[in-house]
Amino acid sequence: MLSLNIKLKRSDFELSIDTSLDLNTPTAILGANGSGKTTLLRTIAGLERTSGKIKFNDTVWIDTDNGINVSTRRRAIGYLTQKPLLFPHMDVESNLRFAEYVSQQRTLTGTAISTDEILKTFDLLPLRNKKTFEISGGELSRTALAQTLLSRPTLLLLDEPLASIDVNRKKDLIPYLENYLQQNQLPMLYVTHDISEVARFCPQSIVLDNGSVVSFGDSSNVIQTLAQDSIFESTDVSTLLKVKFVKYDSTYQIVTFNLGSDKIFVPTIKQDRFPSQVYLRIRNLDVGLARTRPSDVSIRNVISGTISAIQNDPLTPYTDIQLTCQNEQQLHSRITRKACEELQLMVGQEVFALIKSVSLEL
Amino acid sequence: MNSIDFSVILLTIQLALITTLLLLVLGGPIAWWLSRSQNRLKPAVEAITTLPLVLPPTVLGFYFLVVFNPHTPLGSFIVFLTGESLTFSFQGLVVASIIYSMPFMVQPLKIAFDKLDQGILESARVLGANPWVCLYRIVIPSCIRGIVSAMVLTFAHTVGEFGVVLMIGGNIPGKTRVISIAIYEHVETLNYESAHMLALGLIVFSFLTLLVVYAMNREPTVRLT
Repeated sequence: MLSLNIKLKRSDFELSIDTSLDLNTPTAILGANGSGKTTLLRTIAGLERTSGKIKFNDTVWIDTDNGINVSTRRRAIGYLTQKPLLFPHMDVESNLRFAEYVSQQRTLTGTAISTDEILKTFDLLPLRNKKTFEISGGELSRTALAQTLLSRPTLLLLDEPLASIDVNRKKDLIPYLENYLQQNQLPMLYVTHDISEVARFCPQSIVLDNGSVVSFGDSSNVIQTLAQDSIFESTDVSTLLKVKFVKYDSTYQIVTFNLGSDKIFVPTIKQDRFPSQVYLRIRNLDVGLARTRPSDVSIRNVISGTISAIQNDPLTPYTDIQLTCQNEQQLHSRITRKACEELQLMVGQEVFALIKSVSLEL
Repeated sequence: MNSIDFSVILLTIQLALITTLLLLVLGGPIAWWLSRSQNRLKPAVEAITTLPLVLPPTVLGFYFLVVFNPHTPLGSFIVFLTGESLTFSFQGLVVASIIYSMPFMVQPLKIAFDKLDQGILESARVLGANPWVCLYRIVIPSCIRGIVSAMVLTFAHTVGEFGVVLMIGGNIPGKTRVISIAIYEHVETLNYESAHMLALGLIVFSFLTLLVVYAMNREPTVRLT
């Protein structure tokens, strides 16, 4: 549990937050640029002067009324900045050993791992003797994450950890973070502009706007109510469907999930354990509609739902349709205005949403 | 070279070494504060530490005599404490050299500290490093070239100091007679041979010193792999 009651004034900006976050599950921090996401993380880490109170679990980190201010180094926080830094005068291994050395000097409650162990699990052995300028951005982020974990944090703050990495190098970091989080319970605040990362890592989200929390809760609900264009980099609108794991078919490499009584099939090359409940990111462009349940089509995922809203803009060729599916989950679909007219779609109508399996990923 | 000149060289090295080490301890924190602080007194402090660079040594020497001569309260207090006056003594030379060489220690250190990324220090703090660990595992190794060049410059500048020594130290063999003073006296007494030996030695020493500093401050060649 992280209780925040902070006020922090800058010449052109004010962060004012009074909320308690249950951090049993990883939590995304969403918000437009300049909404205070990074400042919030820095304040929690003790790197920004603030007035007010911050309490993490049973420890008060700052309480200006009572003159308490626990210094950054005593908060046992793991903080990965947008552009992670390693110590340039040390090679990769020394950077890790330094964090291990520092953590051995103190009494800490966070999970202890050794440098040798993390060199192996993070596939850093080939890089151990490299200088920090000799490795790629993805490798640097991975080393920085390993370094952070070696410091035995009790709270992990990640500020757009994937933003500085080339799109196709994201595999240099994501699986390692995912594996670690699967094996270790570690509260995490995760700043991101990428909805697929929310789907992947963060069952709950908070939304900042202009220095205040405007929304907090289950990620699929929070994202439902958002003006997504200002917060996410993508131009399309996505929904997060909360689904339950049923089985994995290794012959075809397909995972089956349940949404109520409907089934959703997702192809995957991952063969490890699957969590019992996951969020699937569904883009509105990948959802088609049918008035009767179609047969003989290649599209595997047919989800029943009721039209709850139709947004028709005569100036564009598109119509945006909102469906309510089983378990009250929302789904967005964008079809052409012509298709909408020809199908004679109306609010309240029962329809079937068609989603190509190949458009889904875990 | 006669034996007196050896004691001159020894004394000079002694003075420069002690001055350098004391200035490192004293100038380090000042340079750090100048590099990191947003305090409004910062420009004033920076100006004061740089003042010896632009003032003639006679100004410093004059006020040193005025303040520390045994007839002033401060001067007599120091005599009471140490049994010796700061004027016309080796200790006095050390104190004056510290003031006189201050900019040669503080400026290079400040430049080195300026280059140190704030994010690196924050990252060390977040990892849990205490200030002492930050200093000797992060700051000193990162700034080692700046620190060494500050020390080399301070040492060389103290070796080359003349005016202040002449004014407050006089020319007492084994106590305040350093190389620059000895050269001056050799020239006065038309002993050009001895003057040459010391002067040429000083030129070679100073050249090598500066060579070391500039060679060290060259950017390292970054290999692109």
